[in-house]
Amino acid sequence: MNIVLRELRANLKSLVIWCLAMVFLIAVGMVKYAGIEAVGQSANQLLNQMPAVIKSMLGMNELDLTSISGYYGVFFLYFALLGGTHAVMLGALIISKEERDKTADFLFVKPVPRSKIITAKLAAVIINLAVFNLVTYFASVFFVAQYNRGESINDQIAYLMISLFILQLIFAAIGLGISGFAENAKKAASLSTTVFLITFFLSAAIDLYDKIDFLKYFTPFKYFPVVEVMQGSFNTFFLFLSTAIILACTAMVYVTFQKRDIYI
Amino acid sequence: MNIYRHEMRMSLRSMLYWTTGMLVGLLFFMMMFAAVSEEASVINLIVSQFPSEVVRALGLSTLDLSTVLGYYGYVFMFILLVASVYALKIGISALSEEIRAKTADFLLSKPVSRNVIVTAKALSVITLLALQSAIYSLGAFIIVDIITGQPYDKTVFLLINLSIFLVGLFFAGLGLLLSVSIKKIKSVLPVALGIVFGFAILQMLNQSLADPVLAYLTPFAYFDIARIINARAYESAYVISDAVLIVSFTLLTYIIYRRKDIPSV
Repeated sequence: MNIVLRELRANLKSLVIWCLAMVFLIAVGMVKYAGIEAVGQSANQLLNQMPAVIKSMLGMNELDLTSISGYYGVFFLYFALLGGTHAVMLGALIISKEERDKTADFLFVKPVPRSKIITAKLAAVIINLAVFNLVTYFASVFFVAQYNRGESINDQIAYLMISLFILQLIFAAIGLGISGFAENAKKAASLSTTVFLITFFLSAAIDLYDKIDFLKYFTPFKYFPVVEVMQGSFNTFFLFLSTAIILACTAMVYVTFQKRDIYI
Repeated sequence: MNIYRHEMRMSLRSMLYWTTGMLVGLLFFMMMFAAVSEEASVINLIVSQFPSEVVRALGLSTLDLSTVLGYYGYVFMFILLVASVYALKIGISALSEEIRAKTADFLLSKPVSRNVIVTAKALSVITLLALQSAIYSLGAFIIVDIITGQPYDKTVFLLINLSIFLVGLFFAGLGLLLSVSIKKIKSVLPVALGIVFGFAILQMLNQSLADPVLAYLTPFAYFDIARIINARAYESAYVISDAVLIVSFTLLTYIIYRRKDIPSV
């Protein structure tokens, strides 16, 4: 429990900065919506004529950009980008930073088994991710309400936040898994960034060219299409795949850290 | 000079990795050029029927994806993002790495002034960025030439690629300034990623609002690819603003670093 509290305190500052950034992003994004709404009808006309490739490039397949729910759905990609960055870095550093800060010997000589230390750190990661997610949710609900003149879309926002949370868990687990076998914190961070950027660009490439759609299994950004999620439906196969990735990566960090030679 | 050489030896390899990554990404995207450009010509027809305010408000790219340069410009925005993360990363690390690696007292006790240290490190950062742009441009030239096999304007192509260096200098300067003004930076990459993505989001906003004042806030707006393609040149106001910011970041770094309290081991 002490370790969890200690971790929460240590990550508090960065969490606050991330949350403020999200609130700012949402606020700014909604200003942009006002601009789109203003051109309303003709914008819709234009979009209807667009070939699928351009629509999916902009992330707005089958989404009506001039309705507030459609617009919010398009915006979701950037939440995923920021949420994923936060999660993958948190995962990659939470354990490896002890070696970097030369506090590993201090922590690992305590009468707590390594597995317990990892569990405590995992708990801290999940709490951090949940706070990030909830702040995004409440900021979204608040700012959307400012511009929404139709029906409330709070349910759709909630569904999207669930898919965001799964995405955050996947990337945090990937970061953790990498930190298990990476030599040091620096390598863990750069490897995780590489993996993260590759998955992001892969999803951009799939949007651009649908013949490589089969690659979608390799990028979590493609697991839960916004349109489906907003209707409240989650693909069972991808839910299963996500769970498998999360469990496998977490199991890996338990195994590798059990035998790790801690550098002091 | 020794400091410069040491810096270069330390970071040359990672620069090559990053540049290779950028080129591999480009290769991957360029392979889809033929398929995308066919569909893209339909889009142009549709877009041309609508007023420009609508097109802009939707954030529709003003790039013509059916041409080599238009498509390259679209892909380039992603590559520039990666290059910017790298530039910010090396900018932040250059001076602060010594503190993290506990080698600061070793370096600072040498008979060289702090100004000399900053100069050597800043020069190594500039060299790395210049090398990166050069290697990338050469690689990009080969990839684009082989894959598309179509003629395109080489001057514009060079101008687009050169913006990697100019935007990179901005981020490297910002990184240097940040690294001396923040008390302690524990890990560089999360900070670098966050800041670059922040600027990228500002740029998205700027693209749909098209507010000339807002454009000054983000270096990504300084070298707008659609406008480079049309004008075959940079816009002088933005180049000046870029240069002024780079110089002021660097000057502030010198001033702050001279008085900075460096923790010893």
